[in-house]
Amino acid sequence: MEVEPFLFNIVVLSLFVNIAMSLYGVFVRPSLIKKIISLTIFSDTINTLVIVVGFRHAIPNPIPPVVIEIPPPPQYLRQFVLQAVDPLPQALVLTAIVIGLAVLLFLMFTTLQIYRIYGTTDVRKISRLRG
Amino acid sequence: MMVVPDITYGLIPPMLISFSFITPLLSLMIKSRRFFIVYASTLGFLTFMLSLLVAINVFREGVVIYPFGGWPPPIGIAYIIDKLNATIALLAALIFLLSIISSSIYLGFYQKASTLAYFYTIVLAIFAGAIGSLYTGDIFNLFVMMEVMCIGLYTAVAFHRSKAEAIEAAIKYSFVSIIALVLYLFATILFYSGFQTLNMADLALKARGSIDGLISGGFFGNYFVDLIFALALTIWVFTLESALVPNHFWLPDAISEAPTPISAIFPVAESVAIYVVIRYMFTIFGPNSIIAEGHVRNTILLFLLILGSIASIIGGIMMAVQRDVKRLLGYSSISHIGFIYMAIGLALFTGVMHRALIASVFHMINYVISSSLLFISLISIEKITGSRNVDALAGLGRFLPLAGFSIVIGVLNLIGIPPLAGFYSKFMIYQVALEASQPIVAAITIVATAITLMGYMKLLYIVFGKPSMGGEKPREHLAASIPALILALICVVLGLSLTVGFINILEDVAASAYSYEPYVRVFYDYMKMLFPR
Repeated sequence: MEVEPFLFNIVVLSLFVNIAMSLYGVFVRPSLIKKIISLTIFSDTINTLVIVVGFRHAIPNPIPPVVIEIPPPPQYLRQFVLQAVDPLPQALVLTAIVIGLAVLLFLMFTTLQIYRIYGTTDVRKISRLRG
Repeated sequence: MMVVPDITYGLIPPMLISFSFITPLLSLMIKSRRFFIVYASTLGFLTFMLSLLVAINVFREGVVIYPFGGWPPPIGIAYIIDKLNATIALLAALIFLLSIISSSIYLGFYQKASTLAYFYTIVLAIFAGAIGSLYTGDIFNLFVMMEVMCIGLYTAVAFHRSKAEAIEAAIKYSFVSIIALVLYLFATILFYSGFQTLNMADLALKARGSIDGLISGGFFGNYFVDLIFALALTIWVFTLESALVPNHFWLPDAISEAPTPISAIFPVAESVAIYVVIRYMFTIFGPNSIIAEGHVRNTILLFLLILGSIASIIGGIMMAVQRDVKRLLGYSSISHIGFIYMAIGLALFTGVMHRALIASVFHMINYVISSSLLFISLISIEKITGSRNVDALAGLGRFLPLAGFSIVIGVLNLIGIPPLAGFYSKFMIYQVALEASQPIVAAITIVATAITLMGYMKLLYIVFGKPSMGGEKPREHLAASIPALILALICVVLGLSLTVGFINILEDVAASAYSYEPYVRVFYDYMKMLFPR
């Protein structure tokens, strides 16, 4: 068996296992802090998966989507198009990371406020609302 | 030929976001409460006028494309505005404007100007997110704008930060919504990996199999599997954001614990999510597209129909047992969301698609207007007692004639009493169900309306009940009652003008949802002009 496809499959498989584990953490663990940690792992795993979607196989190896020689000669440009990975998923992930930061800050603030009011971060004890 | 796009089409979201960001800075220098109320109301009015201008232009000239930053559409972000999203954006801008005006009464309790500044920062961010996700023609930009809107909504629910219930509702809402939106990011990248594009018009062209002359190239890999997986995730995410039944649990908590002007905005946020579902299921992946193969599209629409029927009944039953007025209205929202999805689901039957879409869009307009109207008129009634219990509020509507009148109109509109618009939209759903030869669905509309009647009677007690307190007569707050009155008059006018022209507008709006040619044509022409082959 070739090494490269094997390693690639392991990466994709471990990402899916990661998603399952982090969703378990979000939905089953009672502590809010652990839920937030799992949520961060979840969104980071999705971000990595997005970058993996933009990956492409190239011989000898894929290169980052950055043009180094300016102005690029035609031969260099041809090589670049054949070898560079897709830059668009990386741009999307940058945006998603920034949004994730805002969301994480909001969750941290809310958890702090819950700790101040209820004296605990256990969701089983936070149940003032019913119905 | 170089075309400079008209800047009014893309002005609203960047303008609102930048003003939202400088509001906290202004609060460091300006300590006047009145300034912030006037500032936010002016911005709301300006945006309402701009969206009115956009809607008039779109109705006069057809679909409009606005390439953001001058980047051509499949490469950069483009706004594509047709009659459907121009109408919903106009409605959203109206509700936001009236909610901002009425919030000056709600926030009268707070002495410090900085509190108002924080509140209006949130409101303007939600406003920008809502209008942005309505106008956008790019599925990733839709994700960003939905995040902007939803982060604003979480923060708004947690506005009373030392109140235990509010914080609990905020954490409940934010956890499910954050997971859902992260999954939507995954769905967008699956669309990208299969179709090589993020533009909605480009996707719509490729979903019909025509890839001639597109600069984004053809398909990649096993795109049908990608598509089914991504579409399932997308529909799940946006039914969660619009609180369809299995995922409705966050809405009553969030809508009842948010400040009341924000509760008036929640129906708009739901209608944005419903608009996205309509856009995906009818414009991008319409009846003649790739997902009509193998009954994928029919299965999704059938699910929406069944869940909508269940939602309309569950919402009605839960409404009957509530004591808290705002919570009761939250369950009424769930019931009406069910009605809207029922109408969308009925479009799966051949021959009734156009009329089903008219019914769903019309019911959405009615629901948003009357639900927001009830929340806005509750602001001034809530202020008298400080309680939200239905029994404590009984009879208070008598002291406030304008707010009381608006509540009666809003409740009758939600029930569906003949001269008002709510009757016609429910009747349309009933008629469409019969035309599609689905008597069970038609019966469910009647049964669900009858069940919700129990809950709405409690609301009518606010006006017609016996007042429990004597003594001084409470003062009517005009800044909250006039907006409610405006919305009540719109309800009446929509019902009366239905036969004299409004139905034609609705037909155009519904037709623009599923007739994808004009939507795609404007994109294709613009791309051809910039990249002639």
